[in-house]
Amino acid sequence: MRVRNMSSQLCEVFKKNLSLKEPVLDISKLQDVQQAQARQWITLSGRFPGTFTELNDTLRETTFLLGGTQVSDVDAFVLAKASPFLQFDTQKTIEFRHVVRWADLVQHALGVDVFKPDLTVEAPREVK
Amino acid sequence: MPVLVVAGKAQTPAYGAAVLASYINAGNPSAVFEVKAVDAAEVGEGKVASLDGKNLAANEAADALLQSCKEKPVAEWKDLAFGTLQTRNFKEVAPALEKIESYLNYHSFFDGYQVGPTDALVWGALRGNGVVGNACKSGAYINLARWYKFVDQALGSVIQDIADQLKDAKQKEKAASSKKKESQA
Repeated sequence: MRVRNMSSQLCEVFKKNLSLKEPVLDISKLQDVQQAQARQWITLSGRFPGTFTELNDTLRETTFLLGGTQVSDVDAFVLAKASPFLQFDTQKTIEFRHVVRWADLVQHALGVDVFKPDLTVEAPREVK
Repeated sequence: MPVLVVAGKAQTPAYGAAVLASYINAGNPSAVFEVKAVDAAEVGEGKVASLDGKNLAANEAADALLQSCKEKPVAEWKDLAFGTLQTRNFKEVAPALEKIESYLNYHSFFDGYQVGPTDALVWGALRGNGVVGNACKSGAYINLARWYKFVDQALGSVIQDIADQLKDAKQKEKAASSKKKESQA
């Protein structure tokens, strides 16, 4: 549940994927459904920021990308791939509010500074 | 081990205290509190919980448990959990739900970057309020639903434990009653 004592494995996943073009992500230990989700994010993250809408839509309903209560390698991987595109203006902050929330959470869990979100931007309530 | 007893049929059950007990237990190597349920509207003296035999109102029980919690809840949200969120009038609760929804636009939790005592209290208040149950789960409030699901996964099993205890007690009572009838026949 808690994100204290974060393993350095997540930071390694993050750092490796910051610089390398080929994804470095071991998904062999994930369950089948999570492996499928991870593969989807490997594909979609290769098309960032064009697929930020898909990322935002997923994070609307889940705190972490694979669900559950723990930050995962997939979160670290996708954050690394998203990091060059996260410094949003006001309009994009509102449009991609779920990406902002998630990225801020994951960067904190990993102990890295990827971007400085403006959490004071007023966003109109979303309707399902 | 201190025992928190929750009156399962109370109009405002002490779910905030129960979830807080679950949170405190999760943060320690072994359980600090035992949570028990009674199939009644009160534990006695008009109170809905007891801690180590002392009867308490729902908020008093949560406050007593907070004494054992290293982190302190955020006052603004604690006040909401102890007040408006326990109201059984949806029109009165709705502005508070809007406020929560707005806050959770950019925040995953009320206690910063992980679930904390404030999340436990707010979630417990919502879980114990039958009027808002559907609003929390249906996705009418998108951020609230996401957060609610997360805290449910992290701490909510204590509420199921309470329900299971009440069910067990009822079955035992039923079995004892039919045994008594049989012996009388």
